[in-house]
Amino acid sequence: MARSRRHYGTVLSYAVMTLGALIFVGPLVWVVSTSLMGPDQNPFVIPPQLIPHPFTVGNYASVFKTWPFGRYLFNSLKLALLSVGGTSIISALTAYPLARMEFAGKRVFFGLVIATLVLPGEAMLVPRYLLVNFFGMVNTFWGVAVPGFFSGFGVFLLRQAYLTLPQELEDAARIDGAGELRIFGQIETPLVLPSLAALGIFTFLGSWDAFLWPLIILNSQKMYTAPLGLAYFFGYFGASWQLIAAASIVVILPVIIVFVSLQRLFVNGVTGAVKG
Amino acid sequence: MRSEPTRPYRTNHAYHRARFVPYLFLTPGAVLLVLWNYIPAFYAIWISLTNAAPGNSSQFIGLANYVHLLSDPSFWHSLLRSLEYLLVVPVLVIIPLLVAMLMNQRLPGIGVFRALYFLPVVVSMVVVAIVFSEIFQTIGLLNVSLMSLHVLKQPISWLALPSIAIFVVMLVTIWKGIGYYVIVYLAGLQTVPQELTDSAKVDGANMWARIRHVTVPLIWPFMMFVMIISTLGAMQVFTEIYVLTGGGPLQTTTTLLFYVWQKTFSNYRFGYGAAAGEVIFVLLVALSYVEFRLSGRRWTT
Repeated sequence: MARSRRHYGTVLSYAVMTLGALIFVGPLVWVVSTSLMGPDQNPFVIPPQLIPHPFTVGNYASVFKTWPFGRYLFNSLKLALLSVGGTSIISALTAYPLARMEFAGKRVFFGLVIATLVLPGEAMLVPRYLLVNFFGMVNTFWGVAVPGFFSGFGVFLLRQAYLTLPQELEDAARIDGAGELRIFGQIETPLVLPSLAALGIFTFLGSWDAFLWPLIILNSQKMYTAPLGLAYFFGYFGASWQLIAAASIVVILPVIIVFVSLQRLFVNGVTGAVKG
Repeated sequence: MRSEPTRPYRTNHAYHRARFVPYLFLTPGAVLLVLWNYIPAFYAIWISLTNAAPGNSSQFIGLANYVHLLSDPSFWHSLLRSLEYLLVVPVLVIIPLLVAMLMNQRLPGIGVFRALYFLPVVVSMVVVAIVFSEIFQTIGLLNVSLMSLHVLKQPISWLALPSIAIFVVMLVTIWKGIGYYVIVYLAGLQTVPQELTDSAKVDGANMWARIRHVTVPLIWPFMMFVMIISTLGAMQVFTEIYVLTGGGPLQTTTTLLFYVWQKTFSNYRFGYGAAAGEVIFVLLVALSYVEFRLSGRRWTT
């Protein structure tokens, strides 16, 4: 009796989970299928087809040949690497003394860092834009990336990681004659690489997904990132859903690849952020 | 939830480093922190008291922007829309919790489901919004399906109906958001000892009682975290609106942030936009304060 009830529960769990998977993945599968359709095929057929018949990869060629998505992807990649580099370096440099050194003003400074967690940049669009303008960084990738280099989340995450390192490590290195920079760069930071990697992935993802801020800062089409370019073409060619679908896949493929290959780090990153 | 790792021992023994060393490390971060967070926070107040616009030398005009703002009905509408948008918060607190409890079982193949549920989180919001626009447009997947099932005779223009459009936008926010919070809750559920739920089961507690008296009290801090983060997210919604509705129909999807963006970067009224931005600022501070107070409380039944 009890056993059959448990069995029943398992079957029900799988049924609900499969339904959930359909809800979360179904729309994306539909986009892939649509992207393989020719212009005269109907993407809205019921029931939707997994692989359209006949199918074509012509849309993907058009996305790169007729539309400048190669350039947009390259721009997005440049911007993401700039953000990841800047955020990682600044977060590590700031988190390290907060975790491993005593100094006057430490509590106040940490308080100022934590306060930024609840004050997102969106509430400061206008002054930040005017500052970017003041520094002559409008329509540059620096103007998009630099205001985000300091990340309260990043400092917090890395501080937690540096805190877990044993003091003996530092002492031993010092006895061996290592200086401050060497201890930071070659002894301690390599040990927080998992957290640094999680931060890097998050920053990459955030930069790839960013929309409002790049929309404000980048005003020439050749500087557009992939999401900006996609929204732009959607505005003009929304009716050719087959082409837009192919462009959509092109825009999300790089992050999907990053996600699939680094899934574990990803989940650790989310978990680490909460537990901190 | 803030489990501070215990420090082995203090650093203030034997070795004394030069006083300036920590500050050397901090300088780049501190400069950026002040320049891009604290200066803008105060600069915004100043801008909001001027008539700044591209190409004019901005003049101090006192509280004129605020007076104008408070007398603009579309500002009040956008404020109301932003508050209405907070409806996504309870959904994002509860549904991911249920999903996470489902996912927290030891079943073969469950890792695949976890990965699939997380997929929308990594898909760019622009793409998600475009897909939902293709689903909900007049000749879209939803209407075609409903008509072929004979539920509808005529297609419904979901995104053109003032009473419905905002819910479609919310659906996009929720669909993309759930996976992230599921992972957060899974981390929380792993802190709930299995023996506790088992012994409650032995004591004859039904599922609802187990959730209410065992699971929820233990993961309450995680629920508060999700509440705070999803509230911040709800106030920052932009891409979904930009792609799906452009703020329409009849401004029913123009939230406060969208209003600020329109005034500042379409109408180029920086002073006025900054004044409206201050309202977002105050609203966020107020909401965070209320929620932090709430999160300090324990769950009692």
